[in-house]
Amino acid sequence: MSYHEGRRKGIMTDGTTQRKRRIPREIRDIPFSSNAMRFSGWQWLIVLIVVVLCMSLIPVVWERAEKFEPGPDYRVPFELGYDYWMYDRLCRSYKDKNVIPLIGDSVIWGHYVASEQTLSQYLNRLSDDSNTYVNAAIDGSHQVALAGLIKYYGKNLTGKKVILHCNPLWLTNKKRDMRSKKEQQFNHPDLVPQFLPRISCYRKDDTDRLGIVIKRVMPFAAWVNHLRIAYFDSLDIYTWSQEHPDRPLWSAVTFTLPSHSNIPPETDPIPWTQTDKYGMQGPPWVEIDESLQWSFFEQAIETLESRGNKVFVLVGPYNRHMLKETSATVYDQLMLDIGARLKEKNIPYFLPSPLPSEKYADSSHPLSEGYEMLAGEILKNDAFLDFVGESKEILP
Amino acid sequence: MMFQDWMFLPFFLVSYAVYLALKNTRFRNAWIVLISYAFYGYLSPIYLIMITYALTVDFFLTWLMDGSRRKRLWLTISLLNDVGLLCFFKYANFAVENINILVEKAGSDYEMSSPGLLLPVGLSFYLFKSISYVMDCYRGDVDRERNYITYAAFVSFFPLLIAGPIERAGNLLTQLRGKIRVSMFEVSEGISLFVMGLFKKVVMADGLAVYVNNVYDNPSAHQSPALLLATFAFAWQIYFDFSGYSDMARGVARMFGFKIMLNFNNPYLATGLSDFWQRWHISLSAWFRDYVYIPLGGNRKGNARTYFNLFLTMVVSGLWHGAAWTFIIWGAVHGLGVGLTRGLEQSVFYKEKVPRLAKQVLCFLIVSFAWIFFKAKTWDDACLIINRIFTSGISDPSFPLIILALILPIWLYQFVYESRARQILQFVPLKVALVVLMILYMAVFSGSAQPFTYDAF
Repeated sequence: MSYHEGRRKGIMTDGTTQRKRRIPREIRDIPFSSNAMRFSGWQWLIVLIVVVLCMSLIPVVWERAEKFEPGPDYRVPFELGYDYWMYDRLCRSYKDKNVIPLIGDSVIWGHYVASEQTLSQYLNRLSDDSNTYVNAAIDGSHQVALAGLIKYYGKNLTGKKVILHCNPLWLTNKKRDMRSKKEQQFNHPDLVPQFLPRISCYRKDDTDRLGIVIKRVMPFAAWVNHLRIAYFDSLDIYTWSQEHPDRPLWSAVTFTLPSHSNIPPETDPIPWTQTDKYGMQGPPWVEIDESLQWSFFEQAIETLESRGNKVFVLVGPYNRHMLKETSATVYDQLMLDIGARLKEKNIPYFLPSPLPSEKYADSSHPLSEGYEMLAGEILKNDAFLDFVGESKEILP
Repeated sequence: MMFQDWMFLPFFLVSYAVYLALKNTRFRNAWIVLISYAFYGYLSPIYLIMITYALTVDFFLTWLMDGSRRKRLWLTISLLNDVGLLCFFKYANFAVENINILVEKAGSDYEMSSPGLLLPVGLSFYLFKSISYVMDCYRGDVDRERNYITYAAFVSFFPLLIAGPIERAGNLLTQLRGKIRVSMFEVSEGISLFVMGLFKKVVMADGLAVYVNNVYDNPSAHQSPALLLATFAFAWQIYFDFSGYSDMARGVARMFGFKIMLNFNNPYLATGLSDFWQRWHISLSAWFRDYVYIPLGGNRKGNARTYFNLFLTMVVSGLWHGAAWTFIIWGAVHGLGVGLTRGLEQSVFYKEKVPRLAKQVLCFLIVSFAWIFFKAKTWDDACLIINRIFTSGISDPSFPLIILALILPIWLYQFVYESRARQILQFVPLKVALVVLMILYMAVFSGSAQPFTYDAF
């Protein structure tokens, strides 16, 4: 008799009869649960359908309640810089308009200036079309993040002419180029690649990375993020409630978005030469062939082109006056390399000369007058005029 | 990897798809072991050495025990090995700390260096599972498992690995030996359990943790109302945290076709401490009853011995929860409480004359008082909190209303569930509406993820 056969008959291997097993009472009759939430397959299907419907409809209904009418000087409010749902909404608002968005980081966004003093606004003022150029930049979006921003949230700009800004600041050294081996905090981590290519200075659990990837494809998740950023000081409601125990949740949801004209707190719109914050600098610069930031900048161009966008690249103008001699020489060579690379790829571009020293607030951000000068320079550039000219032919 | 982690999603989908293909083949249990090891090893590959060692030793000792005349010897070796492992990894640092304090008080400069050991996650849970199997084999309550892989699947079964329930061989091993049925019924039941557990964890427990941690991290900065509310909130936090995990574990196991014991049964509706321990962490309470309290003599050796056995069991249970005096005192408070209220709870007056709600409130207050020792970082903190609850002034506790708005309906729900009005909760449209709201609430309002409280035990 086999062991299993014997066991079925209650006979042990030594031939003795198996005595009655003592089974604890908790195990004898296992209750399902201590609540009534027990669903059948069909009921779960209904739940799934209702949940999907709610998740699809809530953001749509929300948009109707929360007024958003971006004017010509609109830029994503500083407080909403991480609110990619709003960025997507902004791009959607430009979808059927005759506009040329300027995409870039804080240089285009206008870190030291009011919303009517940004490059896009000066381009509007100095050209005939007063509302053609729109600010579609996000403060702090380095080029790796920019590539992600365009890829995941810029789909509604498909087919448009786009001015893409390349800030050489991100090529100053290995750390800015995000190639440092040490862990590093940087802006917009949710926009950078989470798994491949692996960014050496970006340390996050795989589970968090996967969460970010999943949330990117769920507009509802982006809306939830919008809710937190716009109304709950970027906190989850429990932490927010902790900080505002006397305020009910609904009192926070005012359906009023932060003003787009605010400049970031603690920014002094004065020339860099008039403050003690900055001295002469000698960054080593990185070569574009090795640069991670540059490779993502190229990726951003490819994404736009694959969507039928016509891209014009604006490089700098970096504050060369701040550079020590040796560093300035390397910088000049880098600009030549960038120009050559863009030419090789047939991308129209403009490498403006540095602005006068006093027109800069720091190493890369112009002040209001600097933007005005830069806009004037751009509007005289042949490649740009070609780019815009084509635009005028195509657009009504 | 925890159930609420995003990484669990691909892990589950892949492991479950293969499992469904293998569930009625001889490779099923091997696959369970493989995915359980992947699940556990994801936390730290070193943990795998420990679990492999523990289950291998017990497997061979029960093999030696089978038909042997020296069963007691093999049992003793197994217990020494398992309890030794637990003591070494869990209590060595605590022991050294206390020895150093004693030596210092004796006036010596000698100081033992702390071993600095890291407690493998879930060690207490799988060792207790293994101990219960060896004890059951010794007593003849279960058949010895002859297949190493099946036994490894029993000990390492991933849903129960990190924080239980501490399932018995009589239930889980028996299921692992037989055929498994996985149909839409099992899947939908599993999802029901999992979603409830997830809600408890990410909405309730993590939400309450924000307030509780704020107060308990700095008790001297808070006055009586805040300390009281934080203590009550912690009572709910730990319940939601642990029962949420248990629900998720049972749900995942159910989807794999296994029925796992109920671990929490609305404990805050208990009408006495004895009742509480039949509703709270049932698998652990039953374990201590069967393998500590009853071997100590249970209630068979007179009243005095019964009370002593109860007290000792609760103290050991406290020590199981953590290597700190606060846990031991928490156990002792429960031991004393059970001892002091046992007679009362058995009296006709208490059973028939005291309103049920009054008994429930009294029990909740005693349990909440004991939680102070459980949650406080040190004995001094616990004393400070108790002292300030009774002596500090009254100021605005800054208690977020959202938390109250969540706890009260759940308490009410539990009351209804255990009342004659229970049928209301079976009304399908109501259930669907509730679960839709829960899922949307989770998606919109869940807070920042907090670790499970009980995986540290």
